[in-house]
Amino acid sequence: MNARSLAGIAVAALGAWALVAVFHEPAKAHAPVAWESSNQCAECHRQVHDEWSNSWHAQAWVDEEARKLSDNFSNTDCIDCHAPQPIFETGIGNRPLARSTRRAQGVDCIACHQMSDGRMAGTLDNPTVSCRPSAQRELTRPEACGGCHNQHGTVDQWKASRYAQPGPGFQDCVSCHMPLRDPSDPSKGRVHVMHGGHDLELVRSAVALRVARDGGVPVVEVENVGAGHNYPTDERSRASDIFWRDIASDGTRGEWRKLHRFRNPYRFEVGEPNTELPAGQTISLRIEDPAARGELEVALFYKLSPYYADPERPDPEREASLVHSARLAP
Amino acid sequence: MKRALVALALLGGCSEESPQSMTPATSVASSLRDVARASVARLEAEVGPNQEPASTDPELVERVTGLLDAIESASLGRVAREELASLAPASLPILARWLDDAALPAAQRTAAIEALGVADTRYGAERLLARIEAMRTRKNDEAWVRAHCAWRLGQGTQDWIVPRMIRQMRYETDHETVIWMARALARFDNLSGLDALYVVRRSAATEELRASANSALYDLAREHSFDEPDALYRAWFAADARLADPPLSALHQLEIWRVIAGFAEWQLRGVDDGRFTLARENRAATALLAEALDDSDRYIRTHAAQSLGRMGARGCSAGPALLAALDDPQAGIFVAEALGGVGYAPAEAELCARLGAPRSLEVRTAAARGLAALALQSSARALEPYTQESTPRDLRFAAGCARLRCSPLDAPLTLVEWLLADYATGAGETSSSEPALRAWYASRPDADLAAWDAAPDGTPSARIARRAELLRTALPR
Repeated sequence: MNARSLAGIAVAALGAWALVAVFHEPAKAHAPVAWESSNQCAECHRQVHDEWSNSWHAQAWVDEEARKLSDNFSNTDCIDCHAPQPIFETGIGNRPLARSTRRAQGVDCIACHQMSDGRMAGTLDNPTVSCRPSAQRELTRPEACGGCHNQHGTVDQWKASRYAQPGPGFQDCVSCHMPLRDPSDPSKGRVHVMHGGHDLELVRSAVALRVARDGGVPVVEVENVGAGHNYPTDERSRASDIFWRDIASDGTRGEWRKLHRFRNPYRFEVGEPNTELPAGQTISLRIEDPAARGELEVALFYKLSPYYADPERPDPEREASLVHSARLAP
Repeated sequence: MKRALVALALLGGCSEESPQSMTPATSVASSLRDVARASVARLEAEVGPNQEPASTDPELVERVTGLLDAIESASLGRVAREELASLAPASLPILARWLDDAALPAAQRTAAIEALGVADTRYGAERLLARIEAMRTRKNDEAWVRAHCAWRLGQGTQDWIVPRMIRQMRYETDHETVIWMARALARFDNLSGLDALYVVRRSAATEELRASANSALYDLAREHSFDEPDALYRAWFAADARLADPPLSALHQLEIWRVIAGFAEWQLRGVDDGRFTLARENRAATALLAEALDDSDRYIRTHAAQSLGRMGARGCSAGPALLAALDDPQAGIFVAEALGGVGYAPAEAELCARLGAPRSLEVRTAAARGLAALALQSSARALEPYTQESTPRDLRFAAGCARLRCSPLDAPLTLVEWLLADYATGAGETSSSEPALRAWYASRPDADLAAWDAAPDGTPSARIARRAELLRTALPR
């Protein structure tokens, strides 16, 4: 290729660039949109919206238990966290405040993503689409969840755990509760179901139950092996109970007897201790009852509301969910 | 200053029925300042610290101890009590230690409580009140000690105990103590304990306690020149002018400002307690809450407005200050609802003006909520256009509820049916639609309000189901 040819190519390339530069229209910034319902988000983010719709965040207002405890939100104090204003408006890490609209949508897309200038916090910047996403690292930080979820100390519990230490073992709220859809491709985003205490499999992965005998006396151990915070945490209504019962030689099982309860009491339950199990810790309990010398079944149950219909004769199999159980030979 | 002038201009608007127009400030940012913390600092400097009186004189200690030992004596008991009271204030720290010593005989501890109470000092009252409050952190606390402390505080003049005693009402579990706390509050013309007395009269474990609560209710009614408790109860919530509204002492103001300053805290627990407390305070507290609407902290402004709204008619004198804060870009939606809550009729025109675009949907919806609480018939026409199907759902719902409450008699049946359908699901904003539908139901000639009011027992969903059925039967076929 001689010099003339090279010059020709250069001139052609320059001409092409000039044509593109002159006639290509730059991407226009999208006009602001009034976001009045999280259903608007579904137009472009169907998968995320569907996931959220099946989450407990979406149930924050309509959940029967929440309505019962708040007398259908006549106790307006509850609205601050059950139908909050956008957290970017009140400020990440600040306490949330109640909003006037979209209350039935609970903790919705707008509550977590809308910024005070109308843009949506996300993982990338793109002013050309209707929601005008803006990359905001705060969105996935524990402080974003903490406005509501640290009211009962969950984020503080996490900060005190090994999971909060920088390094290869670091895991935060989103690591467990909003995992990546595809760990090999972060661009596919995070799951928006935000599963927690209502997901029994997640609860099971949080704790281990072990039983053994020490000189004939049964010893029960429960270890918080997987939760990055106390077990259970957050909602005061959550409780987890260890029960045991004897098993007769013909296989007949006795009545369940309560050994221990993990729970942080309501403010009105004066003097009751907080018996939640911190991350990484183990509790060891001995069953001194002579009836426990024979074959035993020990079980750990989880309850979304703390009380049993008959406190004297609780029926955990009917009123709670089984997390783990173990049998112990005589 | 601007707000103060507006407040002066509109003072007295609480009793007016006709709406009037005024223009609130378009921006409040420039007038915001550190109101709450500055008020706490000013009042703390004014009243000084609550110091423990010196009581190191060994002779005094010996004398007080001897007198307490003589309390149980049949012949010397009365003299010993009087002598103990006369040794205040130096004797008070010694008495306070006896108060807290569970190992001592009950008669000696009772004498210590009495002497602390009779002294009627800030220090003595603080020790008695702290002893009542200790139950919030101490399991199986001695209820009889709390009851006695509450009774004693009701004999004194330390009005600053009111906000802390209201807060304690939220936690107190001993019915006898509740009765004496309600009486103590009433001593300072605060009748927020009436609610609790009704609960004790209805549900206490023993006939004796139920009768005691009933006596307290009738005593309080008589003391306030009412024939019976229900009339007194209504008068309290209606801010009846026949009820006294004593000025707040500097110490009482300080306690209130401490609660208001606490609204800036991050933890909701204290904030919830604060809203509960101030919503039940005397009318005189309204001026302080109105002042707090100028605080530079958005949480203080927000929760001050909420507290005022929950005070109901007792908060009405804050109407002008609330109206001036209506366009607060952060707290305005709470202010709009509070204007309705306090029943400030002159706000009607401004709330109606905020129903329309280009205001945000949040503001428009909050304005409709405010109008619902105001429930003025004259608002119905302004609300009507926003009850149409083309209106954004949240605004339509709030305006619909307001429309029903303002003028139920001529409310369109399609609107009633739409609100009823939402109510019956039990998953909507039933705390808004329930009073609106009740207003409509009450306007029916064949309404059975006894059946409606009998429904609250059971779960909310059971209550809603029963009331929805009543509403369906009232709809024309």
